[in-house]
Amino acid sequence: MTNMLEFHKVKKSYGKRIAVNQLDISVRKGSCFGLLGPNGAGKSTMMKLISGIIQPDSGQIKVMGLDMKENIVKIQQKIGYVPQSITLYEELSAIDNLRFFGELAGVKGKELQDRIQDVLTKTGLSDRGKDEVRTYSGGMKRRINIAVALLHKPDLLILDEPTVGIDPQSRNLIFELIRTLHKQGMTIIYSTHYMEEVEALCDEIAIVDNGNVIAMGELDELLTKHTKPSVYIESAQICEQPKVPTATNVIEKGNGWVIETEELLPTIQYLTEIAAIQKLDVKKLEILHPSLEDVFLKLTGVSLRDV
Amino acid sequence: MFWNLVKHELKHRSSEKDKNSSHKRYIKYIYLVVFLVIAFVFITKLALAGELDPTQIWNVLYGLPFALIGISRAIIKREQRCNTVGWWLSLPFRRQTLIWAKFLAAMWRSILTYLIIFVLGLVGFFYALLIDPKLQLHDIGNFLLTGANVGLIMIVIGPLVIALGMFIGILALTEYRYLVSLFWIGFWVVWALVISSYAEVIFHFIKHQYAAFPGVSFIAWLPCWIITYILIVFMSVLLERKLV
Repeated sequence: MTNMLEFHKVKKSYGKRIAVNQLDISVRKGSCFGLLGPNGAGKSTMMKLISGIIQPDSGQIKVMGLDMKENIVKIQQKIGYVPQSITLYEELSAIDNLRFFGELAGVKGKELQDRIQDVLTKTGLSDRGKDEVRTYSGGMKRRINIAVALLHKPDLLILDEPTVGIDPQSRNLIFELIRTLHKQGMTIIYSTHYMEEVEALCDEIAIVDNGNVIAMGELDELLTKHTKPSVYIESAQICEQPKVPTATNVIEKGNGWVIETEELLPTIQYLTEIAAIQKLDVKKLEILHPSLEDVFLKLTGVSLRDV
Repeated sequence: MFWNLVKHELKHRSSEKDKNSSHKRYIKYIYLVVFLVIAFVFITKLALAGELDPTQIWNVLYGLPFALIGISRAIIKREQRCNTVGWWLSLPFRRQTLIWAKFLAAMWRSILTYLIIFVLGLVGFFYALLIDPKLQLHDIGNFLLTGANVGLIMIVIGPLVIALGMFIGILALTEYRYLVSLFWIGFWVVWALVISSYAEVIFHFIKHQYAAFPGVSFIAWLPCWIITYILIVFMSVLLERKLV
């Protein structure tokens, strides 16, 4: 078995609105899979389908080779789900919360004690374990929420926008934790609308828009397939679209021009020569490294940040 | 593990919103105090005038079905309020098990509510005994029997009322949430018709004749529990297939 998760033609509608449309996804075992898309793209519906919270109208979902419809409880026992909202008892300490939720997950006695210590260490909160959760910052609560999901040693960890509204220190600790778990072989599904997070953490990415996966693959693969390297030139004297023989496309951006090309060095060489000959005052001449933002822009025609 | 789930349901879990709003935290206590003051004034006034029928204290139990609907609806509603519907449904239990856990927790709370009312009723009786010269200690037998009769009826219909309250809570989480307001309109219309037409008959039955026909509760018990079970199964189907 190489796939941890498989979606086959999965469809989910709410009334007339199609939230997820004929979706085919496969997530490799041991990968960190990022679901990237703007709010309302269908990410939450996908996360709910993956964690068994809702059932599809049609199609099949398999987790660890098991059909979701027939094995929902068995699958949920192997999943650690971290929802967007904090689900902790504020008036209890972190240790008491972990003990309680550990028991709900079927972990008991000495094993539970050991796991509590382990997850507290992993989340960097072992020195605050006895404090009441209500005294924690938002980021610390989020880390305990992740700790709860890790108590029963899940094979698949699902994180639904885990960094929304938290401090940079907690964000970095969560990133470190995710990287460690990924290195240890855990499969992680990470949903976010921050492309930087997906770029930093995930080895496989699905870009979601309007209930469809519009692109899926490894980061480099997506960038190579959907974007072209480009050069940016900015000069007050270039008022009209520059004619560059090696360019495949030229777009105006800010006060300058983006020149898409398959041949980076000859393009830079050409621009440098032209600037020298025409004595242009060039403020910027740089290679632009494409990002997921560019992939999204290319595929949807709008910027991810604008949606 | 199932009992851990019930324990989880019985724990108080307040949302950040509630914590930041101190008046919401204390409002139920304010309601309770207002209710007790009103009850105290009524008992005093009637007892001093020698017009108190102590069994009238149990009229307060007419409010119990509403309290049960409120308790059971709230136990579902809090998942919505705390944004934890997804987390609740991701727990490794069958939908029906999750609902049974909430049902039992609501039952436990309802029994506690009834017991508190029962004790408060007793306190009211003893207070009336002190100030009403016509009232005698041996009247307590009839008083307790009437209260217990109502308790018996609550055991019979309570589960159904609780399941109904939970059903409304769950309906609000599904594609059919637009039916919730229709349900409330229907509920209030039926309740108003029943109270306006049959209140005296019902209370007379509870007070004077119910004890003589305890078999009635056994006749009513089975259909009530069967409907409760059907409602719980239906709720789990709704959660599986029609959750928004």
